[in-house]
Order: sequence, then structure tokens, then C-alpha cells
Amino acid sequence: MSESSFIRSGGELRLSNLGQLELLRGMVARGVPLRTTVRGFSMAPFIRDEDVLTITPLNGRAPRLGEVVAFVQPDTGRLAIHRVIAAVGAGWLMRGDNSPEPDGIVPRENLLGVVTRVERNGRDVRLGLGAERGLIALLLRANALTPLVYLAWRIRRIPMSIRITLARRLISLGKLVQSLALMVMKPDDLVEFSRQTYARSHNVASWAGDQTVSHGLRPEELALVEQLSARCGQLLLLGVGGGREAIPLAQMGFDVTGVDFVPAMIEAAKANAARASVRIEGIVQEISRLDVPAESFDVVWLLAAMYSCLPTRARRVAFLRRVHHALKPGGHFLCQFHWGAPEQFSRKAEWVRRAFALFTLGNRTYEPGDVLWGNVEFIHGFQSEDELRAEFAAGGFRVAYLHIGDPMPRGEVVLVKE
Amino acid sequence: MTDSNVTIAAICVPSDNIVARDIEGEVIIVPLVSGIGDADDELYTLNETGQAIWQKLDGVRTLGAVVDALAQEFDAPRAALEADVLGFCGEMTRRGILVAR
Repeated sequence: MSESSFIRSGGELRLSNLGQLELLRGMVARGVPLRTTVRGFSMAPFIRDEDVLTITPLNGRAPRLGEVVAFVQPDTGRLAIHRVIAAVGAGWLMRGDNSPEPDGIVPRENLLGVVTRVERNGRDVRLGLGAERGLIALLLRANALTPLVYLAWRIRRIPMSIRITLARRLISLGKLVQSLALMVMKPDDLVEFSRQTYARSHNVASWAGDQTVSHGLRPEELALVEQLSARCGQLLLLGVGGGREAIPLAQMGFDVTGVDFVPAMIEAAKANAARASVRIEGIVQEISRLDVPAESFDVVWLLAAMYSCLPTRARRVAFLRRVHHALKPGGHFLCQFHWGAPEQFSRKAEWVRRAFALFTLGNRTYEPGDVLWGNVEFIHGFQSEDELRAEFAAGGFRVAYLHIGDPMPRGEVVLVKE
Repeated sequence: MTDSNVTIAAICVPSDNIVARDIEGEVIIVPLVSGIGDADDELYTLNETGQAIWQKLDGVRTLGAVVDALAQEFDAPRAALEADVLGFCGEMTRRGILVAR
């Protein structure tokens, strides 16, 4: 019985339902989580066939409404992973999100662990395990989940243009209904919504007109320039508009490259600069997807509080990393942001808005402080200096100057690439 | 192949850093990485020889006693059985699956 190696990697081994149950029991006995691939369709769409779940032992605690729990089915003795839809007497009523009926009452001794993480194709799937789980459980109990999932599935397939049209229709209604316009749009839709607003010819004419452009830099913008040690070098202006800021900065001695997602703005900015006897370069790009050569700029400036126009923290941090990439070592990033919650809703109204986002598969990444400013563009109002500083740090920057909110509901910041 | 740290007088037991279960006739071993048993990325089974040895490791028997127990079940030269036991336990201790004491 001689062998050179006694162990085989079980990468291809497919444990049966009872095999997984036995392994999970081993993990529960040790009090450690199990990460394993699951098969089946009873939890679709929140957990799908071949998703990788992390199941954490309950260690004696009671499961909460809406949690997805691994347990031994009392009638079959098999492993099931379903949602808690009610506490009943000494047990819990479970049901798969896609099951035609509940599993029945499951006693405490049959419970093994709670699903704490779902991975699909190498990415975390959060929908179904977060705060919305209680709502899902209630809908499941009322037999309303499947029809709503079907409705969401249909809405998901409608094109961006129809979602934006729906948002515009909602804007024409009352305040709460109006605020739902924000919730029906995904982050990409919100950016496109703002782009459509600014691309309208009367808006281009307004931003590129003499009255705006001749205004030059405002006091709070001059305060930002004061923070820079030199008035020369390569300067990237994001959201250049008609050139109100670009022209005086070029006159100061900067080599200015303007970026805007409206081609007509770039053309107007260049023409206005030429009339003022300075030259600026122009790039048509959406700023959260900024793509310029590495370490090519001394200063990057995101104009007009547009940092608040980037939906979701994840997108803002990814944007900061792109800016970081574009800056030379020691380079500066300047921006302004909106401060304070522009609109306040009651807890009940917030709940309605989030539920609306969930079931239209719209803005599930909604953050408190998000609004459609004047119903024309997305903005996020920051409400915590710590939140803001953490975001800048996550982007790889040191804060050199930060001023918040006086007299305008805005703030300014100068960041340094380290 | 043997491991110099594992001798015939040693007692080998499963490490605290794994979970092992007999599942449908196979010994399934899952290492605990950062406090999680990752059956999706890291899961091991033993071949027939490994399994026969594993089942004799009761935390009481020395490896010599394991060889004795195997000799009663298998018609193989004692030297070969001893080489297998030392080889198996050497490999398992190197992988952190067994600990020798």
C-alpha cells in the first residue's frame, strides 16, 4: 500500500446535500463559519445556483426575521437554506424566496447557521441580506414577493431612456412622489440625467455666455488658488463648462486642459479662451470615468461643487483614485462639495423611497443626503466631516485645506497626492 | 518520504486548524483560514491508504501502535506499513493537518 502522496485536493469534489450538512455540522461544532458553493433555485433571485455562501454558526442566538438560515428540514433530514419569515412558538417558519410554500416550523435544535455573505462570479452580492431582508420576509409571507420580483425583472429590462422618462414624469408630481425620481435611477442613469440637463442648448448658451464667463473666479475659488504654491504647470479642469474658471487660470500662467461630458461646452470654452487670447485644450469625458495619462498634471480641479454630483461613495473613491493616478507626485486636487442634507423626509417616507428603489431595481445605492437638485441634476450633500475625510483618505489623499459651509452650503478642499 | 520530526514513538492528532469529517465513505478535510472553513477553495480528501491510517489516529496510539493495528488488517510487510505511516504523518504535519506530540 505504498503511495507518494496521500492527500487529494477536493476542488472538483461535489458534496451531496447530506455531505454538506455533515460538513456544516462539523463547522458548527467548532463554532467557525463555512464557505461553500450551494446548488438549487429555491432562493432565487437573491441566492442563485452555484453561489458561494458563508454560513456562520448561530452559536445559540435566535435568528432574526428575514435572515437566511441553514437548517435541517424536520421532515426530510436534509440541509435547507431558506429565509425566516416568522417566529412561531418555539420555532421559526422558513420559506425559500422562490418556494411555492413555507417549509413548516423549524425548531431551534435544527438551526445550524446564518448566511452572512453571498458571492457570485467572484463578487459580493448584498441585496437580500441587508436591512431590506425584513421587508422581503413580510412580502414572502404575504405571497407578494414572486409577483414583485417578476415586475422588477421586467422593469430591469427597460432601457435607460424609459427610466429617465419615468423619473421626469415623477418630478411633475408632489414632493414625496417627486423624490422617487431619484430612487428609480441607477448611478449611471443619474450621471446621464445630469448630462442631458447640461447638454440642452439653452444651458450650454447660459454656461458659455458672456455674462457667466466674464464673471471670472469667485472669492471661494480664489481662496483655493491661494493654497497653491505655484501659478504655473499643467492644470486639468474637470467640468470646464464655458470656461469661466479656465480663462483666468490660463491667464495666471497655467497650461489648462478642460474636461466636460458635453462636447458643445468644450467647443464653447475653447472659443471663449481664444477670444480672451489664451489657449486651452479640451477633452470630452464623463469625469467619474476620467482617463488621462498617469502623473501628467500638477493640479486637478473639479469645478462648481461637482464632487457632490458623483453618485455613491464607491464611485467617488474610484474617481479620487483616477485623479490620484493623473497627478504628479505632490500634485494638488481642488474641489468643492455641497454641505448639509438638502431635503429631509420622515422615517416612513424614507422607507417608502427605499422600497421603491428596491422594487424598481433602481437606486439601491441611495445614500442619505442624495437629491435631484432643483430636479435637474444629482447631488449628494455631505453631513459629516469624518465621512468626507475618510473618503479622501480612501482615495489616497492628504487633506491640506478644508473649509466647510460659511456662508454658502458648500465646502472647499485642497488635497495633496502623497 | 518521511519527516524528521515524526518518529514511530510520536502520537499524531488532527490540528486545531482543520475540520475533518467522515462524509459518505470519504474523509473530508477543510483547513481553517482566517477563522473560516473554506470548502469552496480548499477541501481535501485522503486516498485509501491515508484514510486507513487516519482512522487509526485516535490520540492515544503511538505511530508504532498504528503500524501494529494496520498489520492486523493488511497483508503487507511491516517495513512498508511503517514507511507509509511515517510518510503520511510527515506529509500531514508539514501541511498543518496533523500535529505530532
